[in-house]
Amino acid sequence: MSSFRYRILGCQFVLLTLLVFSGFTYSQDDSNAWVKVADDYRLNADNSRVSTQVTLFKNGKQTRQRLYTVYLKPGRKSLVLFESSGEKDQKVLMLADKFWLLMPASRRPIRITPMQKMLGEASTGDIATMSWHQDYDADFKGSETIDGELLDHLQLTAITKGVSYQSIALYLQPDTHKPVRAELYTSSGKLAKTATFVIEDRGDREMVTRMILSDAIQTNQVTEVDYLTSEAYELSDKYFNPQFLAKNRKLIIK
Amino acid sequence: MNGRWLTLACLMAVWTKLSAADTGISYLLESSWLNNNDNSVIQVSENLIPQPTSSRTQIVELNYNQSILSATAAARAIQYTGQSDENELRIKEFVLASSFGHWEWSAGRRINSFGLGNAFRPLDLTQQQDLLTHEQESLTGVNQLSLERYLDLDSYGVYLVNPDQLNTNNSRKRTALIARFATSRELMDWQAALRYSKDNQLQAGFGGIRILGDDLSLHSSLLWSSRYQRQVSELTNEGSELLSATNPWIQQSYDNGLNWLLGANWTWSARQNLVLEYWHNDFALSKQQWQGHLDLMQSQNRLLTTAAPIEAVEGNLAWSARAFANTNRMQNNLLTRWSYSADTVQPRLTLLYSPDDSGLMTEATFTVDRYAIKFQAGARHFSGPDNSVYDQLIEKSRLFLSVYGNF
Repeated sequence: MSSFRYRILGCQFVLLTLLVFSGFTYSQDDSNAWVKVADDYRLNADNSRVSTQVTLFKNGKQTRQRLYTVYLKPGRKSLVLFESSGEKDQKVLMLADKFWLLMPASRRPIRITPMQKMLGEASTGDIATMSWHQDYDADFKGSETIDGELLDHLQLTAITKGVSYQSIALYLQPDTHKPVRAELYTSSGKLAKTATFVIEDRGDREMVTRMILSDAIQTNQVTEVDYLTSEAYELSDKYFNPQFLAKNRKLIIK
Repeated sequence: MNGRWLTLACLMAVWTKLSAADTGISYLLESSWLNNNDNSVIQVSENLIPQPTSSRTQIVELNYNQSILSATAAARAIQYTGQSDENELRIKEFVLASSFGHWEWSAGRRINSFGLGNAFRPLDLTQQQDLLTHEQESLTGVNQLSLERYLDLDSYGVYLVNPDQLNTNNSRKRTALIARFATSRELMDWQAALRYSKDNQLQAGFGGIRILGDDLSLHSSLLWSSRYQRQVSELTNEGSELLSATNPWIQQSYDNGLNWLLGANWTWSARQNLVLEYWHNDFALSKQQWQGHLDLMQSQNRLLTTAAPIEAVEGNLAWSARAFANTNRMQNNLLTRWSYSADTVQPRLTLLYSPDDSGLMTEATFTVDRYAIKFQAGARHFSGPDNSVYDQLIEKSRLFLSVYGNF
């Protein structure tokens, strides 16, 4: 009788253990798959053209607004064209962890370090990086309630060199995996910025239409990145060659 | 001010903006106030070497881009105190370009810049730019035919430049044929180039930039020239007279010249940047040649207080002063440039030191970028020992203010 009782207890323990662990733990593959789903809310095609408007606020007052066109290709390739008056015809090319700056007055590509890429008030990396899954490995940390909403917390650690942020605490909506909030940390472990995402219906699907970046170092500074349009577009490979970009002040892209 | 050119430029701007092509307009207004050097040995009357105390430059630049045609035209008006205005309309670029298969061709006047470096670029083989001037005007291209191929991160190019220009110093054609290869690797960009011309015969160059970490990069360039030229004054030859009845400057050829540059760029916070560059330029006068030239100018200056005809002495001093105008001024140079990139302001400090004679150029600029316009204020000062080139320049210091917009 007692051995039967122990057997029942043992089965209950195993079932409980299975229940607990199957319900509340996820593999790293699951976490990375969620990040990929979250990325799909930001970018709807691997080859894309995104028109981006960046607005900078200081102490709640708008201080600057800039327009960019970003061309993206698989393999962490992005080309940022500066469209606003004052910085027209500037370009930044990012090929994985290689970066070039192209100024209109100088017909030569300037290879820059990851740190130089961060010079100025709006990091080009924030504009040009539209996905996390290629650069980071995700680890599920549990569920947390933020601003009254229960969210999945994923810890993203950089697996490639040259990324703007070494680690990211990413918060996703459970089930849909929509990105809600991301805390962006530098290589020294310091919180640099906090991003929140606005998702709206765009045609036949929901997309991130705005990313709000709150600066953790200059706390009075907020940057709003609006994704005005996003479309599938395959730009020819030659535009991702720094020497080709340097050749012409203006790129005529049909 | 004679505003005819600017009116014409504005009309062109309106027309290009209304036309269907992709167009752009930039406007630069720069005012300078100059402090001339009372201690310079070059003391001549204003009609021989104008020494304005201020100047104002306005440049309207229009660029027009269509699928196969790119053109840039500039209208420039310069006003000097006490002198007549200078007005100029210049086609800076007019190039037809297209592709066949994997090759890209272009024909016409085009701006090229191949080299690496902030203050000196030995590998700018189609055209050299004076990178030490405070003026912000863009380059004027050179006439050329080019054929280029871009493959992944490699690029190959062949250029026939200046097919129509003569060197006024020796009446030889300035035509040059250039072949160039450039590529990018994981942590390094490098390039190699060959150039052949009648003046320089064969030139071979190599350069690269190496990323050493998140915050540091090193760059270097080397150019060997089988032949090269310097402008030298015949009056500096041993036993020469102090005065000449004709222009004493002649072009002298030398063999096996080396121009090289070593530089580093360090960004130690998200805001601060430091550039260090050291270069050697064999096209510039050597330390001994400069010493001979400064001695000549001092001797000529002493003649001002003698019975020698003053017109002849001043005329020769004016000729001698041409040495200062050479863009390849000093052979050995060390540049240090610090800048801080804040949200809308960028202070920058540049020190250019000449190890040959301890001369120093100091420049501080402050740029404000607001409302799509760049406002810049700056000051430049030359100093050094009495026998240094920078201490003898006609200009001692300069204040400048500029406004620049690119729309």
